[in-house]
Amino acid sequence: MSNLLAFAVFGVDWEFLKPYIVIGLAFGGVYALSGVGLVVLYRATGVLNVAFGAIGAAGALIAYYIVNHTSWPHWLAYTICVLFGGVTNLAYGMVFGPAFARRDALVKMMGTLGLALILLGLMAWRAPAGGAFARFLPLGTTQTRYTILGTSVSLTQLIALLLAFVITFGVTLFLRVTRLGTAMRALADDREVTAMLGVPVRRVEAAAWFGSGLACGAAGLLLPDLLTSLDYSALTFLVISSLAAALIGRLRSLGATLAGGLAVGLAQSILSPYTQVSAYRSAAPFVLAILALLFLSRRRVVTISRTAG
Amino acid sequence: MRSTYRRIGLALAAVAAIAMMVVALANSAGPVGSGTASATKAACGKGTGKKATGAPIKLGGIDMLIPGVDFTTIGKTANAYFQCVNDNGGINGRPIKYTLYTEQLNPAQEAALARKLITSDKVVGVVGNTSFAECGTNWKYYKSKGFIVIGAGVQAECYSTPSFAEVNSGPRYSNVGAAQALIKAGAKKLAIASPDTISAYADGGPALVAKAAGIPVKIFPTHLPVTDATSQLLQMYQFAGNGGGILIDFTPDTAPAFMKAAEAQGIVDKVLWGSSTPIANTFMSGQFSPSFDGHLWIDNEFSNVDPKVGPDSALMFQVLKKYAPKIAPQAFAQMGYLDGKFAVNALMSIKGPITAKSYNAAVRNLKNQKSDILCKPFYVGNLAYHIPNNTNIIVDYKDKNVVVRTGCTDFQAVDKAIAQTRKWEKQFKLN
Amino acid sequence: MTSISELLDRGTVVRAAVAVTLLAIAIFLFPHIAGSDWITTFTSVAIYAVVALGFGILYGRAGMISLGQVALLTIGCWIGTRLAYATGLPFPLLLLAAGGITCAIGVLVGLPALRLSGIYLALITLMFAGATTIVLSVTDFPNGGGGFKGRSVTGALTTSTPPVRRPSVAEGDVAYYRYTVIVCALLFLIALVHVASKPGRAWASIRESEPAALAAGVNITVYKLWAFALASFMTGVAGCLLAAQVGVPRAITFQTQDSLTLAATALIGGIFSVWGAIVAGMFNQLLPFLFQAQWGVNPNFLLIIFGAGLLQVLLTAPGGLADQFPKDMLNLGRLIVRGVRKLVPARGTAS
Repeated sequence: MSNLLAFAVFGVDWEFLKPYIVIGLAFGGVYALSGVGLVVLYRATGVLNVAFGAIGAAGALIAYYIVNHTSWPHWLAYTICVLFGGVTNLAYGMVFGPAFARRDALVKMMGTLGLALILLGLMAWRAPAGGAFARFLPLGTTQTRYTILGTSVSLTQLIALLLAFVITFGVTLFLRVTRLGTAMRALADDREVTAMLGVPVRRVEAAAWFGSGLACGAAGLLLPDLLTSLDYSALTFLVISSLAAALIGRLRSLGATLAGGLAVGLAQSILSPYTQVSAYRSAAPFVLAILALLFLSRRRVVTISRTAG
Repeated sequence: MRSTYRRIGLALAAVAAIAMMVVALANSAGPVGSGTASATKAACGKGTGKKATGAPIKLGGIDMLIPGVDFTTIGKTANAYFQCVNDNGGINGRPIKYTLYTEQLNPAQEAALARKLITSDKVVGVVGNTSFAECGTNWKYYKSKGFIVIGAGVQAECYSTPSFAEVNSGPRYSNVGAAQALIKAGAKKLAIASPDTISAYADGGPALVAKAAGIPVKIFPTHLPVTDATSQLLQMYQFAGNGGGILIDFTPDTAPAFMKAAEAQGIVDKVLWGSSTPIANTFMSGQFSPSFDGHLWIDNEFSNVDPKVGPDSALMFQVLKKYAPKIAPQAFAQMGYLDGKFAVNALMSIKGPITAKSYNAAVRNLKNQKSDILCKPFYVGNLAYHIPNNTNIIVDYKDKNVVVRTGCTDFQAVDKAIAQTRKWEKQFKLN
Repeated sequence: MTSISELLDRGTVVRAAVAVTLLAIAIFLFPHIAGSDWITTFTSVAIYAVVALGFGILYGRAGMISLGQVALLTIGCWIGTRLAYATGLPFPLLLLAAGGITCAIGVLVGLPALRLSGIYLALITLMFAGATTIVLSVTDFPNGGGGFKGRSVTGALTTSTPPVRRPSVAEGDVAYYRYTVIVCALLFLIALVHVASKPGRAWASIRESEPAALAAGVNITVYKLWAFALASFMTGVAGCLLAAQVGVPRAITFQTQDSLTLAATALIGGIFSVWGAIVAGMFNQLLPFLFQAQWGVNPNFLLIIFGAGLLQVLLTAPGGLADQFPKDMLNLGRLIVRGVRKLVPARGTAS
């Protein structure tokens, strides 16, 4: 019965689609993870950080160096990668945050674009690619594999998916229950009033920068394993898929961001068997993001733009 | 209060920067090939051991350098050979001065650099070019100036215009070699994957081979960077079936995604794996042996990277060790070495003054240029297009090494260009 | 904003004279002193200056940031290439056709995006750029073949197709450079006329405050679309010029990243002035050439410079270099004058 339904919906046998669904969900988990970080940061500080991919890639490169050129334990390398995400994000937020504080969201985003370009240039300069070799950052958990719905799935892929759910629910709970979380939500609602009420705005923002940076670092650690190779240029631009997830979440709902991330991952993967569109499936995140944005703009928004631009 | 946060932020920025610097200091080059050099019978140029001191002969090259792909290794190896020649008497006592420019896939930049080399730097020859787009951008300009470039190609225009004579076969013909080998090994169907930007060109060749053999073939143009290799691999396996052939045409930063996916899904031993040259190196065999041992038919445009193969290979190892120790002896180094060697042979064959005219005429006259790195001798000739490297070996992985499966085999002449090339070879006695 | 009647005031006349002089130097004098590599580079500087001008019109005048201008450039290039192979249209008509069709596409993309503002508009244009890159990597550029895509698989090709044709009066590099500069100057003029007249005033009021503009009776939708139309038209024409310059355009040379670096260089150059667009063109096309071929600097530094420059512009100098440089020069001048006055004793006190 479910087969028939699936056939009707997808036009293809459910059996046939199963592996693609599994694969798509694993990637979707990482996009969702990064997307949640983007949304939390945006709500708390007004900054949509498009340098997430670049920061994650830089952290992955550092982890790669540690694993391949030192004898430090691997778990330390992975921890440093995640922490690097948090630290770099926090540093940018502390140094440039105040300067951009009074500007609109667009200018804040363009600032992070500057950061992304700088990081990309640094990585390309100091860690050049060859032609005869590639960098890999395989995680230990990839060795463990399970067969789910007829496809072999690594523990890493399961962790990525699980982490997305855990982080989404965890952060939602955190925002609702803890004082810091409530302060962040207050900031998101109205900055001025929150400051007037005596909430330590800078400290709350710092927590948001650092926390979302950790999500960015975690995504940066998982992606090279899922993609198989550590291509910092590709990783930098994968932020667009996370952006798509965040936009599907309307830049406010974490649950919708999670769903959005999974949708983006699924869309790319499930389109593979359809020969007509298969070649264009990499455009799925872009198309989904465009649809999300158009949906967001259903109601006409009249802006009161600032003269400073 | 605000300044405290600023200070914290700056401190953290410093920490992050230091972390990046630490990475920067690490030499992230790939593994260097091992192998001791055997007795050298080949020499750089005349092999006199004396430094050349005359007026420099100017050569130039343009290699692509983008975040993710670095072809400058090829030009740098050519330059290493030139330096060796300079230390061995140069060209009639004159040293070679090689200028290597890099380009970032900007056609206007490619055009400007070619013009700078020829009209401003006044080089007598352009050699060592490799790029995804430069052949297309500059072939007409080189033709109008009477220049012919010895390099390594990727695009169609490198093999379909008179301005280039490439030492490699390019992805199309390397795929042809692999497809032939797979069909000979018994593949009943063929699934082929290449980057989508070259797929029409690169996969057209093996498709012709498969059609001629009456074997169903399906092409899978792949958008890079590939994010879901597993999905595509499953698709390809679906088509090829057990005992079918899967031909992948990617460099070591993309191919592992497919190969690791194959390992993960347990289908390595269910299909016959073919590939073009880029994964025929010890880095890849180190990663994918023993799982792929015996299952690969990789078409290698050059000999195995081993000084014991012959005097030219041995010399290449020596040249790299002395003049470019950071460059690993792999296919790119082989390409650069051959580029340099044939350019020098052309220079040495010039009887009168060395000018752009005489150099490029000498290049056109190159015939029967033997090297143990190639299956058949290299040549140029005054042809409408050049595909001098049309005979390759097939290699496989074994015990973390690359081993030869089949010796030098001609490409099937189902492709009109190959058929015509063979006619020219006979007609002009080119090799 | 000045109206046409005020254009005749002295400051504007001086500026116009300077512009005309520089244009004359660029067209007549420059090719005699510069080598062919500089000519090629400056041809693309002119082309990218037009693209940056389109960006500046959208952002500097109408307050809308588009991170997909290079996608429009690519589309214009594609259309120009396809028409050049498929038809025998004279080159100026090719330019108009490429500009017109790109204009239509730009308006179509802009229409749903009109209700978006600021950050959402930037994001949707970025997504559009990304999707275009992918579609293009599948279809690639035409090369004389048939069908809609116009690309023949090179299986049967034994010699390459001829490059995209140039105008019959401007086939050589130098002639084509002059032709490009003239066309770009015309596009700049069209933009200037827009800015100096009604649309310019409407854009200024929209940028200042949409509700106020609405209250003043400005038809916001029409003028926003007009800005899109103008920017897309100019970029489409520039794309056709690029096609003929390059000769054999390939999809792989147009990357999503280019839209981002264009935005960065346009901002660094200065979005509020026409000179800024020219500076942006130089940053985008001349600087890489200088780094590579003249100074031997690693090209990856460029990304770092663009990123740092972007941050600097956003934070301290919103008018970009075109705005900042004259101010800095003025300050430098004042510093020098003050220094000289201190060193040179006043007349009458010398012994």
